[in-house]
Amino acid sequence: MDRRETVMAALLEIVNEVAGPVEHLDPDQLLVDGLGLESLHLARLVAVLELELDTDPFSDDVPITGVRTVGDLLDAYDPVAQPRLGAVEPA
Amino acid sequence: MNAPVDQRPVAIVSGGSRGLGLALVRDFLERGYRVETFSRSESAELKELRAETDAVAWTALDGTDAAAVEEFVRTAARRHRRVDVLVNNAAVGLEGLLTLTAPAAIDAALRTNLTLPVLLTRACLKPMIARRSGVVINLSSINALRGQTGVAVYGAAKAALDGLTRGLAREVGPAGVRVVSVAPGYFDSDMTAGIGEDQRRRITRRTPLGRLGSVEDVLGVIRFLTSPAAGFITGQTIAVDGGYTC
Repeated sequence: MDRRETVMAALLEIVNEVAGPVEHLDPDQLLVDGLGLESLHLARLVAVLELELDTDPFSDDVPITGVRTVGDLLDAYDPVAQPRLGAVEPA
Repeated sequence: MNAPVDQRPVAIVSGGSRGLGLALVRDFLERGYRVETFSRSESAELKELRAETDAVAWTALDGTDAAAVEEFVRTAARRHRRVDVLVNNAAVGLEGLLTLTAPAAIDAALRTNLTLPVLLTRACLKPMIARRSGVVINLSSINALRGQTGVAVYGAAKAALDGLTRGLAREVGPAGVRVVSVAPGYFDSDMTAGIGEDQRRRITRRTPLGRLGSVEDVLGVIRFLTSPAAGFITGQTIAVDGGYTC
């Protein structure tokens, strides 16, 4: 399973708990206003993914406030996509 | 074939090399936990204990190094895939009138007595929230509950820990994690070794139960608070002081 699939699987598990059975999520779906996730759900998701992937992109590089959609979340764990979320690019 | 997953719970105890911390390490081991602890240096007793069992691991760590603290927890969580209990035990005493205490000594005490537990808790909450289960025990003090000459900074740090307990209890309660403060009174330990006979008599006289506490008194309460019997207790400060502050 690659990183984006791992993130999606963890997200789906939490969304299933919060909003009932969901099989697919679109990248433009809103995490809080659309899927009903609260900040503690996001904290849990980040904690689960730190155990799975051994990384927490929000500890340094990416501001969690910049993550609004499913796509933003996938990008945050994708080193190639990260700069779009506000990480400082090397000069 | 994959190795079977080790189901034993995991406790992290800061400052587990001597005193109450070492007693906590022994107690968790007796209860079937795996224990991760750290301190600046290792005592002979802990070294001996580690030779007897591989269920306890010790790391040499300066608690004022934030990055090292985070890495310590991350390594433990990676190794065990869980953290069930954190006991914020490590602390340093700081005695003296505030105006006669050097700012550098105040800063060092606040780092060990407040910043370290905050950072440790932050790191340990992640695996706890991930598994929707865990208990954080903050070792407070009766000096957080009652004013006492000469220990204002120590008391302030401990009172801040009690505030952390209450705030976090609300924050992580919905994720299945409990946070409790334990505030021991005067009990026989390294930190009270300097108390003179007169003061000891005065404390005993003021204590309804008529004696100083023991390490076992504190252990018993932590044993309870980390057991399922305390599953509905969070956000509280439990004084273990023989009634000294009642």
